[in-house]
Amino acid sequence: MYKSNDMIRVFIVDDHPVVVEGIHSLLQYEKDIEWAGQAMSAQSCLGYFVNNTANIVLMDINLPDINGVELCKTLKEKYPGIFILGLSTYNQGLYIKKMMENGASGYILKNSSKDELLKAIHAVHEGGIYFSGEVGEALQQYQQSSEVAVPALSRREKQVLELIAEGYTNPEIAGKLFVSQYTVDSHRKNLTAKLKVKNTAMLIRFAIQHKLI
Amino acid sequence: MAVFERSLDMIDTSIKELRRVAHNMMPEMLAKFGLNEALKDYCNNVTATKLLVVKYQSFGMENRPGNSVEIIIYRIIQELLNNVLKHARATETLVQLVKEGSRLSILVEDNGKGFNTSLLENSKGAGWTNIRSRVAYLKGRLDINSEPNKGTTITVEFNV
Repeated sequence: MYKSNDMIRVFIVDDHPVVVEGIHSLLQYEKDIEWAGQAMSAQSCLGYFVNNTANIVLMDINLPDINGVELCKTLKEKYPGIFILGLSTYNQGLYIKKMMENGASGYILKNSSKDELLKAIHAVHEGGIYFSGEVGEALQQYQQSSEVAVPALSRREKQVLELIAEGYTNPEIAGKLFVSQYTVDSHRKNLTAKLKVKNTAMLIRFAIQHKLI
Repeated sequence: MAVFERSLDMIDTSIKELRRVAHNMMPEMLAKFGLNEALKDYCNNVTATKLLVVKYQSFGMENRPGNSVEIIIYRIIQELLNNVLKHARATETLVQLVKEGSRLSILVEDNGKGFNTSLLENSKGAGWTNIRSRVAYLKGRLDINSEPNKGTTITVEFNV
């Protein structure tokens, strides 16, 4: 059997009593889990940890005073030994990413099963990282879509760039593309800003080097 | 039992729908994390519907342009993407923000069926009216370019 110091002390911060009660009742018969306590707000959670401790904190994102993303950062900075498991209804890549950046060890959704919750608690307690299935997908999708190496050129920018490379002036390009000179100039400025070049010569060189035209 | 499960399914669907509507009404992402992250997230969410692949890229957006401008830009882009979803029959759309000094440029470009831009001048649709008034409020310049079967490029440029 487990000795008391082998018990995983679990604390929860969530402003919904039903969620807190629900998770408490899910965990109360687990032999290796001890209920450390609960808080309804970020402040009372921070207050608890002044004189107490826990191994794992289940943390809601949407708290009434400070949001979970901030609380996660504060708690982890003060007590690096506590593992934080994000617990929320949000299945959005950005929240998950922010939680992880701020030191969380995992993230599960409130529609997870009891088995999944236990799996997450154990994985995180052993120093691992845990995401429930849907969360993993959202995070992956978020990272894929937010990483672009060489900036993508819009169709219009490409047309402008090709005409610049062919030696046409802004008014000529405007005439060819049926847009105002102002628009051509705007695309041109965007191109130099995006590709981090200083002038037209560098712009064309960059475009050729990277096979943009 | 089947009825019970179906009811649960329906509740699930309603919750998702409600969340989607609420998300559109009050982009809390915007307040919490700023325009850049909020737009990235919005574009990801549209892509996740599998109706349209929206690529988002931004340059020079490290500093936030300020709350009141951010919400206007967000709404303009939201409206433009709505138009793409509703009318363009596009498969891909590029959303781009470039900030260079005080100049901020927005580009939304799709690969859809295009339309006759001269018809827009008399358009009384709420969508375009909203876009126009927001651009006017920013003292910006709106440029609409469309080629049949190639797509539409909308650019908005203004000083922040």
